[in-house]
Parts: sequence; structure tokens; C-alpha cells
Amino acid sequence: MVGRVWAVLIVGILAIGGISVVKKAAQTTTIPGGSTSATVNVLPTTRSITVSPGQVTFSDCHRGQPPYHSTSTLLGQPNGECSVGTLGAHGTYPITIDNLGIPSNIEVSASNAVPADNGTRWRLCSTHGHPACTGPGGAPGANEYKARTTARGELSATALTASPACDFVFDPTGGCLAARGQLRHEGIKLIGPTRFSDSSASFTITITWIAVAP
Amino acid sequence: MFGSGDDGSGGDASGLAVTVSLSAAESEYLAGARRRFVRRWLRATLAVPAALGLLIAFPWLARASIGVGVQGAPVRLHTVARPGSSYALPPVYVVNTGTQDETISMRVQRLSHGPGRTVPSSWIQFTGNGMQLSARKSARVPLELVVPAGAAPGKYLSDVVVVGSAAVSVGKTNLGVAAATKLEFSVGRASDSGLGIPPWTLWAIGGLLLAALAVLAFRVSGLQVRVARRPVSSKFIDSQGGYRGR
Repeated sequence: MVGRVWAVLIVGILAIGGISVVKKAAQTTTIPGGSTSATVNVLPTTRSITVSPGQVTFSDCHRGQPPYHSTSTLLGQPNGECSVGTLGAHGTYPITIDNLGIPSNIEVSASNAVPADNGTRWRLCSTHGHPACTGPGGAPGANEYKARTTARGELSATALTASPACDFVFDPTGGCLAARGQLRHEGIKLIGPTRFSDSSASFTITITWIAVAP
Repeated sequence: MFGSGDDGSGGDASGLAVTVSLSAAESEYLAGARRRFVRRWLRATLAVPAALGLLIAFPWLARASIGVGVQGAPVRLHTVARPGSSYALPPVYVVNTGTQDETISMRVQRLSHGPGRTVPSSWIQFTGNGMQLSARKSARVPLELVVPAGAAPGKYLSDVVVVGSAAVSVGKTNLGVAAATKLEFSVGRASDSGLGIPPWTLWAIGGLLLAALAVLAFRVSGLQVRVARRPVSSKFIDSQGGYRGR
């Protein structure tokens, strides 16, 4: 019995060794004429940016008033709030923005919110920028919303606008210059309208990060 | 309802044996519950390794990303553009740096700071706008500059913005990426080519000047040409210029 086990082990070892030798031989095939080829990798000269994941869903919703008080995943009114990630000092920031290429300014913009039935959109507004929110105390008015990107600690939030603006998460001192390979983890906070006239169950927003020449 | 029975445990003498007797309906119910439990257990047992296997085989599933890149060097026209003319700009290098197929769209937008007029978007025509680009693949997109006849002269500066977007999902927040490179060129005055006169007049003036130079050179060389008329009668002129009659 023991001898049979040993025989099986030896055959197994020989088989693994044989496969390794064949693999090695395949990897070291020589080129006739004695030439060889070599590849040199160079620093990229492109301006490029990568964001992951490609799609996110808002959750962690709160505020609003009965009968439209927000649930954990559904935005209520007036001025319900939802976020991507759980924001705060110990929160999670699920969106990764990576400046893969040459040093660039990282800017960010957002679109209006388009309802599923393509009806009345929510216009993107901001408290201090243009167009201004028309609700009480700088809050979004009817069919308006505002949003901002933020990083850990919410120290460098960037109000989203329709035209690209500096994403201060990359440079809390006031700029948005990102070095080659610099990445940041971000979350998004959204404040909805005082009331919305479109009865669609979902609205689609596109947020775009752009790498621009410094 | 309860009574004695064999639970099939093998009759371990050291353990506490509890025997119950069940009605046919209860036995059937229990057997069904057991089958459901086994089915769920098997499903869960198979699902975890299958998911792990998928992630090992296709690691991009674990971290799908969208990304785009554009050449860092500005797009420049190396000659001065004339109003009313079209020019082929150097093709723009575009790359999909994400992990999934993307639709690449391009536009002209002023993002860079600095002197120069903003390029109207209608002046730039993109051949490959809206093309599909697979993950990690690149392309060169030809551009054409069309300067209208009434274009103001001077330097122009804007950006070629390349936008990469994956399939848009309704009800989601779709994250997009874009990268921009500078677009620079100059437009000259419409009359720069000929001082306000048609080009053929330059050729005519040049020809006249050449003719004048030839006449001047002939005179300076001292060569003379005498032209004499042959007499109408039978008389002829001798070598001294006198008439000889027959």
C-alpha cells in the first residue's frame, strides 16, 4: 500500500517537472540569426484620467417632510438629501479619480437631472454661483437640485456646476493641479428640489471629471 | 402525536436520544424543508467559488472603470490660416484608458487661460466623432479647420475636449471622463496674399520688368542693328550705300 502511494507521488512530481520543462522551453525559443528584441517603457505623454466605478447610485437619503420624507434609498421633498458614499470623518468615499497621465488640472462638472420619461428636468443650481438656487436660504427651488463632490473630512468640497470647475479635492490650498499618478477618493452629496413636477420614479445625472492643461 | 421512533442516529449510547413520531403531512413538510435547505446550501456553496473564479478570470469586473486620454502636445496649425480656406489639422491621438468599451465624442471648448480669441466650435470638423473605442485601444482622429470668409485676424486659442462615456443607465448617476488639449492657430488678413490685387497682376508686372531689363542690357552692350529698305527698282545698293544702275 505504502509503495503504491510512493509510486503515485513520484509520478506526480515527474509530471509537474515535465510540464515545467516544456513551459520553460516554450518561453526560451531562440530567434534564428542571433537577434533579440527588447521593449522599453516610457513615461506617458498623454493627458488622461480614469474614474471608477463608471456608475453609482445615491443612497443614505434623509430629510423631507411627510408624506414625502426620504427613505434610506429614495429622495423625498422638500429638499431631501442623498449621497454617494457615507460622508464624514469616518465615512466611505467610493469614487476613485486617477490622473494617469501628465500633470493636469482636474475639473468637474454635472448635467441637469433628466427624468426617466424625459419630462421636466431638474436644473443644476448653486448657492453662490450661477445659476443661483431659488429656494429659501439658498436651497434648491422647484425643479432644481444642487450637488457637490467631497473627500474625507469634507474639508474641500466642490460645488458642481454645468461648466467645468476646479475639483478642490486634488489641491485643498485652492487649486486642482494633480501630479502624474495622483488619485483621490470622493463622494457626492445631492440636495433635491423643494418640489418636483415630473412624476418619474428616477432621474439620471452625469458627472464628468476632466483633465485640462494647467 | 408524539411517540417513539428511530431517528436514525445510530443509537449512540452516550448521547441523549429523542425520538418523535410525525404524521405523513408533517414528514412531507420536513422533507420539503430539508430539500430546500440543501438546495440553498448548495447554491450558496457554488455561488461563492463561481464569483471568485469570475473575478480571478476577469479582474476588471471587480473594478470597472472609465477613462480617456488625449495627446499632451497642443494641436497647432503651422501656417497662417486665410479666411475662406480649409486646412487639415494634425490628427489628434485619443486613447481609452478604462476597462470597458466607450463612445468617444469630441468638441471644441475654451478651457485654457491665455491670450487669443476663442475658436467657434463650427470652425472645427471632427471625422471620427462618436466612434467606439475598446478598452486600452487608441486612435488618431483627423480634424479639419474651416475658416469662414469674414473671420477676424489674430491668434486663436481653445481646447479640443475628448469625452469618454460608457452606456448610460436611467436612474443612475453616470460618471463621465474627459481630457483636453490646446488648439492653437493664427488667422491672417484676407488681403495678405496680394496687397489687394489679384495674383495674375504680379506675373504681368514681373514679365514687364524682365522685358525692361533685357532692353537695358542690350543698349548697354553697344550692339547696333541697322535696318535698310531694299529699293523697289532694279537698282541695287552697293556696299558703300550708293545706287548702281544697269
